[in-house]
Parts: sequence; C-alpha cells; structure tokens
Amino acid sequence: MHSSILVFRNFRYLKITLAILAAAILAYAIHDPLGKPNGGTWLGYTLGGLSAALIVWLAWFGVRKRRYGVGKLLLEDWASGHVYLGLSLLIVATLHSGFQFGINVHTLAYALMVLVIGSGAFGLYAYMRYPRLRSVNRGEGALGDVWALVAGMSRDCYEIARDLPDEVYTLVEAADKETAIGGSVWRQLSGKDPKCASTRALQQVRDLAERYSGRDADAARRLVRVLARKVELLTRIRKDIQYKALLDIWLYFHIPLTVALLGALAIHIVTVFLYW
Amino acid sequence: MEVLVRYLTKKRDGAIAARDETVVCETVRFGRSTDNEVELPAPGVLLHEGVLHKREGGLFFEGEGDGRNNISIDGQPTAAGPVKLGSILGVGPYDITVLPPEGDAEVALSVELTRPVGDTLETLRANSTTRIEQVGVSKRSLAWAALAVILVAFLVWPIVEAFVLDRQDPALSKNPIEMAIETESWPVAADLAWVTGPVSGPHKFMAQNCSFCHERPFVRVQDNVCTDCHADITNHVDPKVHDLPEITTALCQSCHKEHQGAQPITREDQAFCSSCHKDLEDVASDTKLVNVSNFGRDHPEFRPTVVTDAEAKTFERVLLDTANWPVEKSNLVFTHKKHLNAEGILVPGKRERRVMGCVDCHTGDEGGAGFAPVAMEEHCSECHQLNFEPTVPTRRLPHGNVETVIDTLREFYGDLALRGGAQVEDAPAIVRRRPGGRSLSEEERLEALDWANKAARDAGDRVFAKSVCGTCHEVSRTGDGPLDYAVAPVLVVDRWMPKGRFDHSRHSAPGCVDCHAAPDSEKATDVLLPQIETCTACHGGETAAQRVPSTCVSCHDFHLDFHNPMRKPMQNAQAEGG
Repeated sequence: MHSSILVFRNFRYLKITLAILAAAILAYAIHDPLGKPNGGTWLGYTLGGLSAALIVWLAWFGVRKRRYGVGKLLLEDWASGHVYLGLSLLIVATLHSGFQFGINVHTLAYALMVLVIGSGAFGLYAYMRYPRLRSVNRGEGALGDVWALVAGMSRDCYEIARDLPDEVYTLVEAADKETAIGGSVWRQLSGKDPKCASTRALQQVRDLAERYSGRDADAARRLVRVLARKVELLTRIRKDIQYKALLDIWLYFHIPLTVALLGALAIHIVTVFLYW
Repeated sequence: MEVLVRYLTKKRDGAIAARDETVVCETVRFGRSTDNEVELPAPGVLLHEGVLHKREGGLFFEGEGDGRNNISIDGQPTAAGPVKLGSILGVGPYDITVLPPEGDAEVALSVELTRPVGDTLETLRANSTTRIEQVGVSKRSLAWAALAVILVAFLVWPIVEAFVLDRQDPALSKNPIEMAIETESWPVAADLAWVTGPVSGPHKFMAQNCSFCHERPFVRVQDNVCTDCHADITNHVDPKVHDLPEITTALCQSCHKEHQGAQPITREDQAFCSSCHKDLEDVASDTKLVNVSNFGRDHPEFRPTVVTDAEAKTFERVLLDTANWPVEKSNLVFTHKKHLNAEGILVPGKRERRVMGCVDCHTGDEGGAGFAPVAMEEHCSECHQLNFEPTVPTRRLPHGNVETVIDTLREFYGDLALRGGAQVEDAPAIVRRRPGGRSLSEEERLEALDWANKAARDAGDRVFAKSVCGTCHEVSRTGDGPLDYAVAPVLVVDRWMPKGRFDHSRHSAPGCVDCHAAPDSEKATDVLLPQIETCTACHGGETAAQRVPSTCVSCHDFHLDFHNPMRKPMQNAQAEGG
C-alpha cells in the first residue's frame, strides 16, 4: 500500500493537485493587485480560504483514519489526497502570502505549515523505504523468535563459561544482565549501542581466549562463537528497532506541529480581521 | 570427613524437593565449577568461592578469590569466619545452612538457590526499550503543549494587553502625533505579533501603536484616522459637478494600502488613472479633458493655460499647435532673441557687451523645481535703467506706476528750474544760473516753470515712447493732453501647465534651449513650451522598455489642490456619533 497511495486510482489526486496548482499560479500571474500581492486582495482571500480548507481537511485525516468504512472515500483516497494536496500547500499558501514574510504570527503559521509538510514528506519517504529494508533485515524469522534466540545464547554462554575462569564468567554475566536493545529515542534511532555489554564481552573473551590452553581454550573458543552469533543477532534487532523508530519518529513532529499550526492558523485568521 | 549436601529446589507448586549427595573430603569447596564439592552453578557465583574446613572442633569458612566474592555469614558480609550449627552461609544467590549431622555424615549442609537472577529472556526484555512511546512524552501532550504556548503568546496575551490593560482614555486626547507614539515593543506590546507587514516609512514613527489606527476590533481603519493629520487632502473632482462616489467617498485605505513595507503607500500605477481617463466620457460626459491611457502612447498634446486678456485677467487653455501656436497676451514687449544674442548685448554706461544666459533672469525658486518670478528691479534694471535726463544720468524713474512717473518728471524739472544750475543746453538762462544767491522775481519764476513744464512734457514723450517704458510695455495715449499716457497692465502666468508638475532641477542635464526655443523667439507673446514629443523622446508609459517608464503621477497629482478637502474635518466622527 505504501507506494501505491501515490499511484492510487491512476494518479487521480496528483491530477487534481496539478489542476489546483495550475489555476492558482495562473491567477497569481495575471492578477495585478493594488500595491504588492498580498493576502488581502480578492485572490489573496481566495488562496487563503483554499489553503485553510486544505489544512483542515488534511488534519481531519488524523480523525478519519481511526474510523473505518465511513464516507464514500476509501482510506487510500484520503492518504493519496493527503500526500499530494499537502505538498500543494507549499505553493498555494506561498501565493496567498504574496511572498511577504516577516517576524509575526502569520509567518509563524506559514513556518509551522512548512515544518508539518516537511515532516510529512519524511514520513512518506519512511513508508516508501523502511518497511522493505525492515523485512530484508528480519530475514526468515519473526522478531519474537530472535529475542528468544538471544536469550538462549545467554544461557548457552553461562553453560560454556561455567568452568572458565571468573574473568571470563564475569563478562558473560555482564553480557546477559547488561545487554539492552533500544533505549533512549536517540539510541533507538541510531540503531547502535556503543556500550553493548555483549559486544564488549565478545571482544574481551576473544582476547582472553588466546591465553588459555587445553580444555579452557576449547571452551573459550566455543564461547566466542556463541557470543559472536549473539552480537550479530543483536545488531539485526537494533537495526529493526531503528527502522521502527524512523517510521514512528516523524509523527512526533507531524502531529504536534499540525495542532500548533491549527492554532496559529486560527490566530492568523482572527487577527487580520481584528486589526482590519 | 563425610559431608551430606542436601540440594533443595522449590517446585512450581511451592513444595520443596530435596536431593541428597554425600561427599567425602578434607575440606568442602564451594563454587561454580564441577571440581567443587558443592556446585553452585547459577549465575553470580565465582569459579571457587571458598572453603569450609574443620578447625579447633568447629567449622570455619574461608573465602577465596580477590574479594569479589559475595559471601555472608548469618547476614553479615565477610570474607572468612567460624560457622556454627544453624548458621546460614550466603554465597552469591545461594543460602547454605549448617544442619545437624545425620547418620554417618559429620557435617550436613542444605543448599538452596534463594536469590535467583532472572531468566535471560526476561532480563533482556526488562533492559530494553524498543518503542518511542515508551520514552519521553506522548504526541498528544506535545500537541497540547505547543497549542497552549501559541494560543497564550499570540492570542490571549496580546488581547489582554491591547484591549484590557492598554486602553487609552479618549478624554486625554492630545496631539494625535504624541498619542501615536508607543515606546513599548514586543512582547510587552504583544499585538505587534499580529502585524502583517512593515509600516511604510513616513508612518513608522507610530508603527508600534496598532490601536492608534485600528481603533475598533473587526472594523476597517476609518478615514478620520488619516484626516486627523492629513486634514487638507483635496478631492480629485468636484462632487457637485461629477457624481463619482467611488472616488469622492472611497475610504482612504481603498487606495492607500499600509503594511506593504518600505514602498510609498500612494498609488503610482498607470492603470488606476487610465481606468477612468482612457474613456472619460463614460464617467463624465461633459468633461473637457481629453482621453489618455499611456503617456508614451496616447497622451494628448499639451494645452497650456495662456493669458488672453491681461487687463481683464482672463485665461484660456490652448493647444500647442504648430499651425496655430498659442499667444500669451501678457502686454509685455520683449524679445528673448535680442537678449540671448550670442555676441552679447550692450550694457548701458559700461561700453561692453555681455553675453546673457537664461539663468540671468530665470532663477530657481525654493526647492528648485520651478522658477521665481522675473522682477524688473532685480533682473532688468541693470541695463534698463529708467534714466530720463541726459545731464543727470544717475536720476531714475520709479517703476510700476504711470502717475508716479509723471509726478516724478514734473517734480524733477520744477525743482531743477526753480533751484537753477541745470546743465541743459537749450534751457533759459534763469534755469541755468548758478544755484543759490538772490530770490527769483515773479517773472523769472514763471519763465522757469514754463520751461520745467515743457521739459517734463518732452521727457514724458521720450520716456513713454520706445526708449524707456515702450521698450518693454504696451504704451498708449489716453487723451490729447500732455502726459496723457497709459501702460497696459502686465499679466504673466506663473505656470503654463498648472495641472502638471515638472521639476526643472531634475532635468538640468539637457540645456534650457534644448526644450525652450528662446534664442529664436522674437515676440514676448511666444509661448516657449516644447510640444509633447520633446518629453516622449525620453519618457514612455509605465511599462516602457526603452524609455524612462513614467506613470501619470510622475507629472500629475490625484488630490488636486484647487478642489475642496476630500473629507470635512470630523465628518466621520459625526457620522459615527449620529
């Protein structure tokens, strides 16, 4: 579905958007207002009304997508229109402004709109790209199995390290008790854990193993193999968490900024008439 | 010694299972690895934790390792110590209790994993945070917070500040300019966040005081705000003559758009004027004005306002038609050609020729856009000296009034005749006598005055003829009597095109004579204006590409100062009050 929302109904919403943009740009080109082009001319009011209606409709998507089977349009119609019409606002609202920007609440509303569209554009990119990468990264098994695999490896490590010196056993214990997946927002987004206890254990056990001989050396080598496999699995899980975080994080900007934009938009509309 | 080791395991249902092992050994070793007598395989136990051995009739525990062991005896952390019957020896997650000896065993111990560390999968899950909603704040709370900040900062606080805290008392109405100045800036003057664009330059001094112009919420700015300062702004047409309410009663702001930045708020676009003036008959059928839409393309030929009768002070607009050039009947006699002679003009009394230029007579007025009127005393009298008696060349006639001239002549010659000492050759002896000395007899006085009258009459005939007054003025005789002369009143228009503005100071690059054909003008009645083609050679309409783009207001004003003020003072205030 993720890429199909762009081609949905044979680009119907792209065509509608291009028609709106062509009309807006043509009107702006031939309109010769008194003074500079601005939001207070008949065309300014028209483009402003259109922009405001689009913003409210686009924001309503957040409500609509929680109601299944309501109205004539499919959710895909909404999603496809949401993408194209949302992007078209960059042009329609800019023409409404007449390219007049300043340090005021009106430009604040415009800036919030740009940020909402920017975060939405990232969201679209994320939905186009990351689900595929995510399934490639997951490979055959479901992620729940992978977690159990990791846990099993921790148990295997205890077993193998039982007769090994404490310096190794301590590392194995830390690799079990301190290994974490994800964490802070940044840790999840980075997909890496530079202080991963399992990675540290792998490196140090590998070094220690070189000093051992006999039974200890065999056990240490087996331990290194298990730890290496565990670290590899952890890397894949962390990558998976990263994709998930990237698929989620933009909404933490898109949605609060949309609500802020609705507030700023309301203030914009009220105040231009309050001080008419 | 023989040692019984009882491994206790808690089952799921809570029951405890026991598994006994008997070991025979010298000392009992505790630790993780299989070479210990008591194996403690759970995580958290060292390879070798310590040894229990007999000493002086009792048991003694001695820890091994580097002190990292987690050993306690009866709850007291320690590295070594005696152990009695019933003592609980803590080793990592295990509790080892010393039981009473059973059977052959000298020592009996129970081993129970009382503090197990978690399952490896549970530990991993507990350590991990894999969803963004598990950390930090929710989208919903972020949204509410952002909305609240914006509403408070840009709506609630500005409204409170502007409409509750900062109401000006109208009774304190003072000088409008003083009232307009507001010194607070954002965020105190929080409504400044609502400004839609920078205020134009001339109004910037009051740009911080929104409510000075925006008097009432949700009501457009009214004209009284403008006319508080701009009271004398005049109309474009006389509303009594032309019923054009769209330009006589329109709001000031319908044309003058504020908040558009540094550009002037006056309209300069050609289309604004041409919307009416290109088909003027549609809006004012009885107008004498000619249609125009673009200066470069269809501006009509100039029609200067010229004097048609200087005495009656009548004027007429006449087309600059090469076949029928307008004539300025100013009653002056004068030629530019003579004065602008390239070889100069003779200066009386100096025996020199002086080459004159335009600026010798036409000097810029204040500001330099136009010219100061030419004045006889200032610009002409150095050459046109108004002397009348060759023997007294320093004596000059006053300029400006015929009666005064005649009185001056009579008084001069009467005084000369009676006082004596005249150098006039053909005068009688009594007039030429040495002044002073004896009194004149009645007969001598009459003779002298008789000469004086004749001399004054002769001088008057000379003066009023071509030599003096007639040089520049139309002089006529008013009767047959002596000195019955009249000088026709002079009237020169100040500006031939009073509805147009032309700034001479900005056109100093071409010489005067490039536009004004003065050097060839042989008559004072010549209207020395260039035709429009002189202007259109450089200037085009608003969109001209290869000439100076010029709109209507480059030369014309919208608010014409010969009309009445567009708004009566307080008109709006009364309308609102009623």
